Amino acid sequence: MKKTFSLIEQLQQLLGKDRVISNPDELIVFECDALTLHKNIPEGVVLPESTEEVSAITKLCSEHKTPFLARASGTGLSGGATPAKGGVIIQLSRMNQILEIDYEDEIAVVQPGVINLHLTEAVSSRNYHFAPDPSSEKACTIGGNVAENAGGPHTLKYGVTTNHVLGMKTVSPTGEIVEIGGRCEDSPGYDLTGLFTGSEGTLGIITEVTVKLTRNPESIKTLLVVFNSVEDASISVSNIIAEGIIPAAMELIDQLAISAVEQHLNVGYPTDATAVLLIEIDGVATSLDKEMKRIQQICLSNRAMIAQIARTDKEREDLWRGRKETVGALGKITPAYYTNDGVVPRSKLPEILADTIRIGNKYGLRIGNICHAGDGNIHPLILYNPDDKNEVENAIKVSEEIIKKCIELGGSITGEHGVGTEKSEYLGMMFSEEDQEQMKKIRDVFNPDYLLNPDKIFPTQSKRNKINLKKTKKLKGWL
Amino acid sequence: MKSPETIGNKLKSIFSTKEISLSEEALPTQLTVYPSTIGQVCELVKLARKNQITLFPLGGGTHLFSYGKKFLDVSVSLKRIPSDLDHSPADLVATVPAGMTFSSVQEQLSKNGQMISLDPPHTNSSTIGGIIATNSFGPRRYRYGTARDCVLETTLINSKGLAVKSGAKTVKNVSGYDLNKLYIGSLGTLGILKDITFKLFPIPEKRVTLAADFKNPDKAVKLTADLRKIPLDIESTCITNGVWNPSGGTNWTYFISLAGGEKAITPQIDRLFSIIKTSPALNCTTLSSAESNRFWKVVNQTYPKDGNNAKITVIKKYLKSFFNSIFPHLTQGYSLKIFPDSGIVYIHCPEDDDASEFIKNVIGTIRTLGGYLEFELLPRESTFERWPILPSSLPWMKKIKMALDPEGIFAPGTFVGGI
Ligand SMILES: Cc1cc2nc3c(=O)[nH]c(=O)nc-3n(C[C@H](O)[C@H](O)[C@H](O)COP(=O)(O)OP(=O)(O)OC[C@H]3O[C@@H](n4cnc5c(N)ncnc54)[C@H](O)[C@@H]3O)c2cc1C
Ligand SMILES: Cc1cc2nc3c(=O)[nH]c(=O)nc-3n(C[C@H](O)[C@H](O)[C@H](O)COP(=O)(O)OP(=O)(O)OC[C@H]3O[C@@H](n4cnc5c(N)ncnc54)[C@H](O)[C@@H]3O)c2cc1C
Repeated sequence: MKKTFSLIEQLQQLLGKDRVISNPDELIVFECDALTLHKNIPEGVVLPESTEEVSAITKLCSEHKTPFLARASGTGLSGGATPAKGGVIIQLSRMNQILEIDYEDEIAVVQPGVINLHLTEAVSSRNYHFAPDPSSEKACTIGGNVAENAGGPHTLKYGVTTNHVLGMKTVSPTGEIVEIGGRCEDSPGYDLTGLFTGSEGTLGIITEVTVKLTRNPESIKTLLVVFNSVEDASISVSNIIAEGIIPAAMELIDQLAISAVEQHLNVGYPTDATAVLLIEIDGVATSLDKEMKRIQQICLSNRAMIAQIARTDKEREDLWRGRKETVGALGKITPAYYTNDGVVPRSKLPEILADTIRIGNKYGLRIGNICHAGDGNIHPLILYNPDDKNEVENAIKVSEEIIKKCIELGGSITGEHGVGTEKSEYLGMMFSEEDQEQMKKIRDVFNPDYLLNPDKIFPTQSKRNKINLKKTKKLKGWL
Repeated sequence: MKSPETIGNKLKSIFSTKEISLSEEALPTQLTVYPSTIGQVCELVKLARKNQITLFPLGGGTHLFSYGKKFLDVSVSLKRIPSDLDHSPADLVATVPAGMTFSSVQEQLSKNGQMISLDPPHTNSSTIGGIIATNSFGPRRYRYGTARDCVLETTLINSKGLAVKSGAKTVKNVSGYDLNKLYIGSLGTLGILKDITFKLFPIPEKRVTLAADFKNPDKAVKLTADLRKIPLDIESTCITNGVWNPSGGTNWTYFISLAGGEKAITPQIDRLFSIIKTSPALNCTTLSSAESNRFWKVVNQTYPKDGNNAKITVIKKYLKSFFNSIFPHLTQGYSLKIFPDSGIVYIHCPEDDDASEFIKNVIGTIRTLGGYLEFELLPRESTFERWPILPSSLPWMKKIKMALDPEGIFAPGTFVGGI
């Protein structure tokens, strides 16, 4: 009797049983990324260790016409790593080696599963860092950063991931290994590196990345400014930018977020403040004083109560720890939260923040606001109870209204978290059918059968990604 | 290929006779049209698609490769389309029509103390569309990078004659694919850029330029690594000789400009001086502001009209090996412009057999070290390919061209690998 082996069996032959997960109990972990509203169970999860293995896996999946996608740390907030149509997850955590660090060229070559912060740690003794610094830096990977074009607090001055990627090795859905860009700053032809960055894992699987390393600044000054109102804080941000001052980072944290941070981390944010700004400037020591003075003046003229510069490295680190772990801290005061990632032109920050609070009140949901204020990128964290169907639906409505407002103000539906499954139905708010058609033509070049990470970015009409109202599992580890 | 009359007749359904003319000698097309509205551009593309007419988007005409023959049908100039800048100073963002000249845009932005961070050559006549389509840059690349670091949004007239948008007018945005990256440097082969939104920067309060002479380029290049070690607010760097060297002579001059707040910059001049002193530089001068303007103008705005002009990109750390290898073969009359922190070198040499031999050597060296070469200018009889070294991802680029311009109406055959 002739038996055709199933895809899972063939994957086991390829990788060995220990690197193929197909037990339903174990697969539950992979049903979603950090957007817990959208879930779907994959058929299997594979753990490749090399580009060649990734190539063999994609070839097999394509032959079986089974959908597949890359997944790294699963910290994505837009459902990018959720297997929307089931199929196979290519889990890249074992490809976590820094392959090369070249200080003379100021670059590093890494496998996609390298944790963002690990690269910075590896080069810090030589006074370098990897500039994109998402708040999830302790957990997310460089492959994930490239796929989402991740940003972070210091994006304001240093740019997002795309500004720090020179080249990559990618695997096409049919298993072809394609090198794009390279080690040179310019290479002839269309900029495929720029195209792949931020394509949310829908054009190919990245198996190696060449990134730029950034020299550490000579001097850093971090300012904590305390306000009695979110409006005063956000007006200060807009005024600073309008004056042509571009700090290294300028973050806003509101009362709810502050109290969560202080309850759990005690880093020294004033709990009676309605909003704080965390403003950092860096560069040549002699150039900082004047700029810092001007920033303080602007804040004080907008009724800041305190504008205090961190005196020690420890103080500075604490302030940043507070900011970077705000989301985690909020996670401890609510059973679930939903992160919005809208963007507005920077002068519209006061308006959108006022609207955010108004919209939250309208639906009776609490919102903690943190934002990359200098970039106009807001992150209202909408707190809800996942066991209450009404609250779940309202959380989604709140987010949608905020996004609509961002668009009305001339902004964008997503600043750094990506469209994924979460915002695919909103893409039309920004892009006409023809705009989307132009993008889909590019997708079809690289992903013609749409087996690689299907149902992402573009509207699916059928709204396949049903909202899962089951109890949300607690997220482990990285939070 | 269709005759100019046949094409001209078809164009008359969209353009008045005043808007159609015979193309200038330097253009690869027979006819040039000067639409007065974007609507006409869209109609033209539709007409072209239907009738297999090939189009060549035209900016200021400053970056036209020496094609030496007429193999395309119609150049499309955006010059006459009335254009206004949409500047939002409080957001440090501006949307600029592609047909505007770079200097007119910068002048308007400067009224609010802001600027586009690029400093490409030929700023009086080159257009925003042309600069983005060629990924043109200048010495300020050191601090601000290139177009890929400052373009936020583009609108392009695609092969269906429809305006398509990519990106957003915000400094952060990841919605949809970043097609801006594809259009930057695409030499008009994917469509006609209509307008471009830039992230702007404040104009620095003070700029100071230092110039140091060196006997040969590898010694100058070595200084680059030392500059990185010392905290300095450097805005631009460039090493030049020959036609690009304002001080003349046979020396290689390293130009470095510091930019920032007045108080911050002044003490840095001494710092920079002391580093240069430890290098094998022959001298070092702080230029007055008038001198500095004059010098940067020569460095950045001089373009030889004939001969061979090539842009070379090598892995940064191999620049020194590159010069070690080519230096013995450099002769009088060859000019180089080096962007040492990016690994980019422009070489100009005259049209003769020695130059051809020299270029062959250069290409060989690049192949060994890893890198690329693109000719900006080639003598008509030259047998060199415009891009002699091709990227391995070329087949995917061809597929992109096929997908976005299936009929091949946008400047076919003018891009890398025959795209
Ligand atoms: C608490 C918290 C804070 C956050 N803060 C920020 C922030 O400040 N800035 C920010 O930008 N984001 C932030 N995020 C979002 C998230 O961390 C980033 O999007 C991150 O880049 C995702 O990386 P990951 O390794 O977890 O990728 P995953 O979530 O595993 O995957 C994300 C997407 O990338 C694709 N992908 C992953 N690896 C590859 C690969 N090798 N090849 C092709 N596609 C691939 C996946 O298919 C998926 O579509 C935050 C998330 C959390 C939970
Ligand atoms: C010989 C020579 C060499 C040069 N070399 C360099 C160099 O190496 N590096 C550099 O930075 N600058 C270089 N320049 C300077 C360059 O001329 C300008 O900086 C600028 O790039 C060209 O702008 P333009 O408006 O004149 O474009 P044009 O010269 O008219 O066109 C240049 C290219 O852009 C395309 N294009 C123009 N407008 C559009 C549009 N709206 N949509 C789509 N495509 C469009 C054209 O089809 C053409 O392929 C060079 C100039 C010359 C004459």
